[in-house]
Amino acid sequence: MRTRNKPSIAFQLSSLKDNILHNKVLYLMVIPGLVFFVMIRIIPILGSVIAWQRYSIFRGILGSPWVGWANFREMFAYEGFYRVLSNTMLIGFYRVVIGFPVPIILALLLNEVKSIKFQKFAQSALYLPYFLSWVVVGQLFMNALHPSTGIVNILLTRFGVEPVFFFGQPQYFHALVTISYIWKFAGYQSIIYLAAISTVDPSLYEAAEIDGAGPLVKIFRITLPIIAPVIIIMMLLSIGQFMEIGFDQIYVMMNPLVRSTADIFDTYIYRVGLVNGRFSITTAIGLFKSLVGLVLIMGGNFISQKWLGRGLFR
Amino acid sequence: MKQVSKNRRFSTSDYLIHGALGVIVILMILPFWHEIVKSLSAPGNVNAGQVTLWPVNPTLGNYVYYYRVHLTPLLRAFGVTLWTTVVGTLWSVFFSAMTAYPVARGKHHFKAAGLIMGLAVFSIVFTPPIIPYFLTIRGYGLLNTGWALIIPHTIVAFHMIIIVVFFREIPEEIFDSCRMDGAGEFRVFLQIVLPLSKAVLATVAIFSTILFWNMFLHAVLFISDPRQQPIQIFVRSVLSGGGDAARTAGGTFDPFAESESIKSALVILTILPIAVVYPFLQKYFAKGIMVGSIK
Repeated sequence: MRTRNKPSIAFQLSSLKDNILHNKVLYLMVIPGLVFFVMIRIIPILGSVIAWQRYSIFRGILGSPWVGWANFREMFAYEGFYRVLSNTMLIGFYRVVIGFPVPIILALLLNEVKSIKFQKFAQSALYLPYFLSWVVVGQLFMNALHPSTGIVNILLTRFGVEPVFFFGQPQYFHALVTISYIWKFAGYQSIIYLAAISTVDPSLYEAAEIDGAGPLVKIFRITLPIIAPVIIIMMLLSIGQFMEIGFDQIYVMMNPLVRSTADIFDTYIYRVGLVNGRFSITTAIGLFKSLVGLVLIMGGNFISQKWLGRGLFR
Repeated sequence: MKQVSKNRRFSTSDYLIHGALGVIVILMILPFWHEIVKSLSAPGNVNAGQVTLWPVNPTLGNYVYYYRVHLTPLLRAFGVTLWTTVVGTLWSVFFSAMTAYPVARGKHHFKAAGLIMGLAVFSIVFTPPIIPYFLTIRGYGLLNTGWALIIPHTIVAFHMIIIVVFFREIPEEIFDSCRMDGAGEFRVFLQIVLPLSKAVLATVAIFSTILFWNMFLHAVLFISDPRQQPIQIFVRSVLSGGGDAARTAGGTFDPFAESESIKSALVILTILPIAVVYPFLQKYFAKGIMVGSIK
């Protein structure tokens, strides 16, 4: 950081003007992008003011009456809100706690494999689901776990166990969501760790081998400490995405039988807000969700800056 | 990746590692295999729970079923998705690159670089709130048009950042020599920088293609007209309906209409286009996320 006396605002403005005149074309080139960010990304966020209105789609934002904090009070008084909040938080929690280590383990395994052919084949199998939509992946799981025609239940029956309707019972839903998420994304996420591992100096391993270190010692004493910065960044990113469970996955896998454990903020807002037309209260709920997400990002970043001296933004 | 140890002999831990990865690979492949096998089996055997890892009474009838019953809506949905994917990918890659260019030229030439990067990071952190997002797009008159799927992805912030990182690597001398020749910045961008950046543009184009091909939420929100629905919505509506029982009511009994096997066939049909281009996808996308993860 250079410390220098700040030039006066008038000087800054005139130098900006010079810069714009001198590089007119560069400034023209970002106009479509700027319009996009304002019209598609910022205006919807400003549109959240309808959370403080009793919004009517016929009257619009300007014509709808303002109601203060009434929608928020109604939200906190409504028992369904807490169910949706706890589902979102629980699924997010399982994802971070159970889902986070899996790609690291996969990368370590892939790195240790000696047969190149097998490694390439395993990578192809692991990355493929990333490219498929949740419509397809969700259906793969629902079909494989189908009570009468799915392979899991057919095998269970052969061992004399009663078939289980996994997607019809609320107690299984969080597990199914977590497992299918890992199945779809763990391979893709392992690429970044694999890249980080490939930066480790091979002479470190050779030196450790001469000292008689086994594979586990090498992993815990060499590999993991060296890729720790990447792990921290990925952890911060995944905490930032904590509230973003993703509409597609839940919407595709949910059915009315399991709604009590399946409904998350996004599916609830879509169903109650858009389908049933309760725009204002669901916008309030959406704001609450964004606020929790923001607090988590900031909190995670703060803790990481303080304890590890390293955050997301620097 | 690379070999850490030159030791070619398998030790106990090598067997454990190969074994563990082998089990994982089987868990990855099994759902696909089971689905293919069911899609190639007779509907009666599938419904009776007799089909696991090998087709029973092999038939292509489950695929022919869509040709017989759903051909028009299937082709229409496919057409919608093809259009949004091709137009959307070109549109999104072009605008992401054009916005990335001044940012990559740096503060000396373009003082608003920080602002644009800030907006990009902002739009990654804050996903648009569903209800106001819907009302905004509705306000622009885009509902039930293909543009409702494309315009919201004019710039994908993650793609833009990947392109910025790549453009910054281009040596400054190239820009200087172009300026000497009197070429404007936009011509430099079109005729010099874009051709130099084929690798990163291919990577971003692949990400965009996947994004548009698999688009679901935006279609659920913005497309209600059945004739404008993309393939994912069509597939979802067939799969979530309880088979096509209504068709049997017409008089003739169709053994396929109420079978689980046709669902498997539709899943495989939907995977097929991605599977065909998968080797090509795999070549480029790994590079892309590594570039993206640097910054």
